[in-house]
Amino acid sequence: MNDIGVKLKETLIDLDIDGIQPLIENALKEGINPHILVKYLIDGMRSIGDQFELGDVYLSELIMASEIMKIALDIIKPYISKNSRKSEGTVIIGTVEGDVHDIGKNLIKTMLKTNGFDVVDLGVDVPTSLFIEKVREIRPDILAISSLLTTTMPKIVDIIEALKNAGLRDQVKIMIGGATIRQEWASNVGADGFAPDMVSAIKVCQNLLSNS
Amino acid sequence: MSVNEFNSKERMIAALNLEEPDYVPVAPYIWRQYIPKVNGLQISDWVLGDIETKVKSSIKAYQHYNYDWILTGVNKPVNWKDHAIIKNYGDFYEVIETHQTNGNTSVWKLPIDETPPQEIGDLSLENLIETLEYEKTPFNELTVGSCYDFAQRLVEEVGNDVLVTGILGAPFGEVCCRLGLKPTIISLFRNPDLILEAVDLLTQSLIEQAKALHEVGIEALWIEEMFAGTDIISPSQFEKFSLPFAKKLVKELQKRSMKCIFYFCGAPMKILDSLLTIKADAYAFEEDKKGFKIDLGVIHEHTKNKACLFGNFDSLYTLRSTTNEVEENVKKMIRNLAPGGGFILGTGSPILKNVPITNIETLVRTAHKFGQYPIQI
Repeated sequence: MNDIGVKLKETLIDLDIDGIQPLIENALKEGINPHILVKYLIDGMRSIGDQFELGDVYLSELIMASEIMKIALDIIKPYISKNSRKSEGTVIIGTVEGDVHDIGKNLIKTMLKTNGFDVVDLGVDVPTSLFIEKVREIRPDILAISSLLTTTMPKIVDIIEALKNAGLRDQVKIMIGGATIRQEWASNVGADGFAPDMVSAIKVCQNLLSNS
Repeated sequence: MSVNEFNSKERMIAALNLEEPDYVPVAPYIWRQYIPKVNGLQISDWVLGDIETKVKSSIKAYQHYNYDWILTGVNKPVNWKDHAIIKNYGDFYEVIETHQTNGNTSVWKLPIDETPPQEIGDLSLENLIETLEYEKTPFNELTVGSCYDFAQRLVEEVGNDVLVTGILGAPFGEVCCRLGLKPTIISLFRNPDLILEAVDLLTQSLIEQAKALHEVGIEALWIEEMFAGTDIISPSQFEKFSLPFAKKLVKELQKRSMKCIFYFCGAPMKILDSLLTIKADAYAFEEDKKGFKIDLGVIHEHTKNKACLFGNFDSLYTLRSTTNEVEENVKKMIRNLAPGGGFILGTGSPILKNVPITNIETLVRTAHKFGQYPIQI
């Protein structure tokens, strides 16, 4: 990894939110390939993700790193042609109706994007009908559903049922996540995958697509 | 006192004082998500209901289950609906509320019969500090505004027999609620001094609110720290932004002989020793979730003879399973944690409306049957 790569990775790991913009802008001015910059940023996020799995880094630091990543990608985005990169797959993500939690969902969105997925974010408090409408319209590879509250967990069941009734269930893989959800419950309600955190969400998505 | 000579309040106070009462007190987290169900009401009936509705339904739930406390809190001004427009959209209400303290308007959604989404603010940090400076109100002026009527009425009705306990947010968690969790976290890194200023101002405001609750007869407080666990922030961030202010709040309230029950949401195990420096009268924790484990046995070893411990009976899964599961897990918790006193059977989270009423009856009945001191399960 050359100097810019080292500096990018360090800026992320050090959570230097003020340093990322000048670093990226200078690198682009010097003609460094934007894809290379994205690669270094992904390396940095993966490193932070690994530390998170080990318990050396906490959610607050992940959120900060994600914020820095978002700033960096927003600067780089105009320099990257959409057609120039291969998409790993399309994911629709949203938090169920009645629930407004979004931190985990947004972290997963950032990680999915940095790992090459196209992501359509429906936001929070999303009615079941909108999930179905967007699956029908966009035909994603994966529908990622978030529910942090026990009171809104039944909405996940509603969505899966509605997909069946609409004849769409077999056309999409469903990944679910949220603080109160357990693997056993996820399996019982018919989800294809369960992600307890941001880091495992990427692996789950990749596995779902490689198995389909 | 001999068996069954304790009333509910005496039972709770004995446990909070690290003594053995007649039997293990039962203090499930029954609040606005569940009280309506016991009374044949919908959750929105409770939220939009007047003070007397709240008082009567709280007492009815307590009398039905025969547990040992009643929760209360700071209510909206009794005439708040005079300054609000409430529209019914079938499965939810839209409430457009003008706040009398500062003239600001907020719009919030109230499902007919589901837990309302938590109100998360969207103020900037600078605006929050400005608002908190503006909102500084000494406690004796607070009680004039009728926001403490709910607490006062409960104390008047049942305060001699049951421990009426006020719910209060902890300072750091309250800042997160006012700003939004993500903006708060970003500010921990970008504007730590401003966050400290905001948390300090909120601490002062919470102290005055607690004093106002004390003025109307509240003797115990349930202080909720919602966002300071290591599942969210690092131990060093907890020590800097949450711990000193929680300590300050508890110390001030204990000067007024108020019992402080510190309910810590989130992962506590890495910061247990620090948490105990708050010197609350009691500690309560969530059940296992969000990917972390809560080892109440280890916690008990740390709190023994220092603070009362609330049991974190699982209200998410176990309390929704069979009555047999409920009974077995209550017995297990009592067997492991109750001997010697200083233990109260609580739930890890608020009980939600999809918990069968019979399971809560089983919880309380099992505690009464097997929780008599000395414990002999």
